Amino acid sequence: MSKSTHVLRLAMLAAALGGASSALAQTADRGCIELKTVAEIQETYTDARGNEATRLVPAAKVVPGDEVVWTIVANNTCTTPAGDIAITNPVPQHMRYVGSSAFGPGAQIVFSLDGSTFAAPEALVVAEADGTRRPARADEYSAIRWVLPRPMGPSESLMVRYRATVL
Amino acid sequence: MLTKLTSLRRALLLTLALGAASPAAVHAVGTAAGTNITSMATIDYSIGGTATTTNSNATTVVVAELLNVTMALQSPTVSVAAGASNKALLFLITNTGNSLEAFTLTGESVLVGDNFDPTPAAPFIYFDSDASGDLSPGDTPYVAGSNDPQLAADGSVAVLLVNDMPAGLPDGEYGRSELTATSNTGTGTPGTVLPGQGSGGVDAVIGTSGGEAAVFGQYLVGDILVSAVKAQAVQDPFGGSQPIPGATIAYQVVVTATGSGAALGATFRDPIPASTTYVAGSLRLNGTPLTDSVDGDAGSFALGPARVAVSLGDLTNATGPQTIDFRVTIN
Repeated sequence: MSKSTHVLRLAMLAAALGGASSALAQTADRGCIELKTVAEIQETYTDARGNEATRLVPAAKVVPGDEVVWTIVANNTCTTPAGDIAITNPVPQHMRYVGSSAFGPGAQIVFSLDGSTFAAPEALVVAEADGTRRPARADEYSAIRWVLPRPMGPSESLMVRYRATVL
Repeated sequence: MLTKLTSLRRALLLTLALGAASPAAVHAVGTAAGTNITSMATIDYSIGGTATTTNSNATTVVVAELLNVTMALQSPTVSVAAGASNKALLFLITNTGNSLEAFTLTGESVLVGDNFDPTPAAPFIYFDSDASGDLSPGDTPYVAGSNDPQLAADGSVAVLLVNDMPAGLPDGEYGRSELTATSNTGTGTPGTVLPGQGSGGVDAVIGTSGGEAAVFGQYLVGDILVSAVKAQAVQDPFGGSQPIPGATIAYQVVVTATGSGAALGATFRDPIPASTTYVAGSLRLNGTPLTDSVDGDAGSFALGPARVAVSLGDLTNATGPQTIDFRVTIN
């Protein structure tokens, strides 16, 4: 453990010096984090006591107007902590983001109108054709990013989620 | 790397996008059946200071066919005389699902809530093929299973339900007739899934309409006759009354309702004669100028083909003559 960390540090030093050896850089990139996307829909059912309850079931099929719950699960498969974590998900084509639905324990959530620049909702502004500016609406977001302000420990999993409506 | 990400975020705190660059276009009806919706997430992270980017799996959901239909009655209550034949009600059927769908049409004239039952004409249902809004020789009869209307998503068709009126009905009685459009793929409780029965073999899901729509229209009996008498006066550019190019023709039409009952929602329509041009702003009802646009007042002028129209409302014997004026110039 201490030895591999040492090697990594050396690799970083090489990169910082500008003479990055690609072989060493690849050694550092072991694909430690596995990322999985799951599509589900919320179903209402009657439980054993006869009460109405909801549960998530796989979204085998959807129709316009349906709300899909997208869940992204990250799993650190390495024995090393991972830092600077940001999970990004473009709102899929034919879908519209549901306002306030993005969720991620401990994560700072930012949004994008153009898919490349991200900011908090209050900082997103749309310029109308007549030159006036207004705050962007949630349905105009084209991508969501969850930024984790802490490292992810070895073998740790984390989950983020949002909902979007089929157009 | 950490500092780099942070500074990047700071730089982006105020992001401006143009309104035109908004996300996916809004569909009138919805995403087409069979469309694959795919999502893939990306994670950026660093281990020991080395940045890495990894993609998730691509997860796809398939858009099923949504079976939905709406119908709207286009004709106001139709005034009829007892014993009249081939009186048409106009309906507009719209496929509000997300795929091409065929519909079966049925009519029913024995309904509750009215005073008499109109008698279905034979044929009972026509397509308003010439878009006249009424039964005319160019209209195609509907034959179930043979020419069921195939409507694209958001497509619509105008349909006429045609009835004869029994003889001897007193004035003021109402009779109803109802048109039903049923999705050929299936009907049932909203949310019901019909596996594999949608377009291209995708699942079909019954929408909020239950896969069918039914709307009734009604007839009102009245022995009322609406007549229109048209007069014209020509004024040529030389102070005479010769119908030569440049001359103006002033038309005056007097519409009168006589008899008992009411002619409901009466509209006066007159095509502008060939080789003449409507004089903009010349339309008047009982001396009051009407604008040419379709707006709050009763009159309008439209092209293709050129015509003037004036809504006269419900006309009865007591309404009295309605005088309409407009002018054209000879080309």
